Amino acid sequence: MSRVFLPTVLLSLLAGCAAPLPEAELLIPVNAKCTTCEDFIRCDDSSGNAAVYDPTFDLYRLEPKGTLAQLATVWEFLIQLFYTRKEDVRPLSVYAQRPGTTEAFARSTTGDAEARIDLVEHRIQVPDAWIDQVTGQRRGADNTPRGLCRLLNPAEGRELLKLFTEEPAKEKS
Amino acid sequence: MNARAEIQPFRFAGIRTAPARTIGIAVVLLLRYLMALFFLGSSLNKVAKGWLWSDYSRTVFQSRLAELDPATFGAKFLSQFAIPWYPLIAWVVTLSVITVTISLALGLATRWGAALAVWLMVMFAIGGYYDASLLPLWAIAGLFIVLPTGRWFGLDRRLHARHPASPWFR
Repeated sequence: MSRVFLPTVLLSLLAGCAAPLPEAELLIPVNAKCTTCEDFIRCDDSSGNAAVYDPTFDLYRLEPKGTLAQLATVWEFLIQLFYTRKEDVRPLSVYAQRPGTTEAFARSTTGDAEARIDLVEHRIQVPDAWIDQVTGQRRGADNTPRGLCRLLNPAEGRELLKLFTEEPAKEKS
Repeated sequence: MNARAEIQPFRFAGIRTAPARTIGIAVVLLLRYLMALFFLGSSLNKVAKGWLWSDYSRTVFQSRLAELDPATFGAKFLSQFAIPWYPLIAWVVTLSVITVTISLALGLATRWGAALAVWLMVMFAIGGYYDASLLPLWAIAGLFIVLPTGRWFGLDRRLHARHPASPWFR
């Protein structure tokens, strides 16, 4: 009986293979299969006037997944034949730079957040907004445009991160 | 007759006489088939992406290198070994995953197939692809090295009877 049972179960499982998600050309690609990757997305608020210098930006740091989420990928790998994953969740820290009052810039860091990556609509949901991975546009919860985003290479991202660990910038005299 | 040679084959009917043993063996065999499925997915992916006849593996290693902190061992392993030697690595990895798939699916030289799986996964970890999901996979593959799963259910049973002195089918 077992000689027939196990191969039959395996073949039945293979018969129900899930269709892959359609591919799209993304301006902000994030590897949903990588559990140990760090991705840096920089979003700049734009005043619409190129002559006006605007120091405002947000740096979204999509961090490596936690141990349990990494363990869960074994299951996700096994069921990918039968179930197409539509979302990926990554731990997130947000680093914000704004014009300062007493100093040149005011910088803040928000940790313990999460980024939800919609693998069908190609959107990244962050705490206060969502980012269109195809166009790079960031929009607020009410869909109002909030500037443009771009994916930094990891070295560039880590370099930019140093701004937030250094001493606060002093106002120029 | 040597007691070590008296390994009983797996039969569902054994659940009546030795339920705990039968369920335990069934679970281990199910894990073996799941791992075979895991490596089958990896094999199909590598063949479909042309690892053996294109420079796709180099692209994979380069994109992983870009994701890693340059100071890590994985980054150095990729830049100084895997990328310069990518055709060799691609062949070794692809043929190894196919070998593991066949070994675990058929129960053929199962302990050796499992040992090859452990070695491959150690290489993946060293090469910058470590994550916690490798830990249960190492543990599960370790079971197939320790336990005679190929003689419970697989070609090892028949081949061991024919070649009792061979280390391949134990």
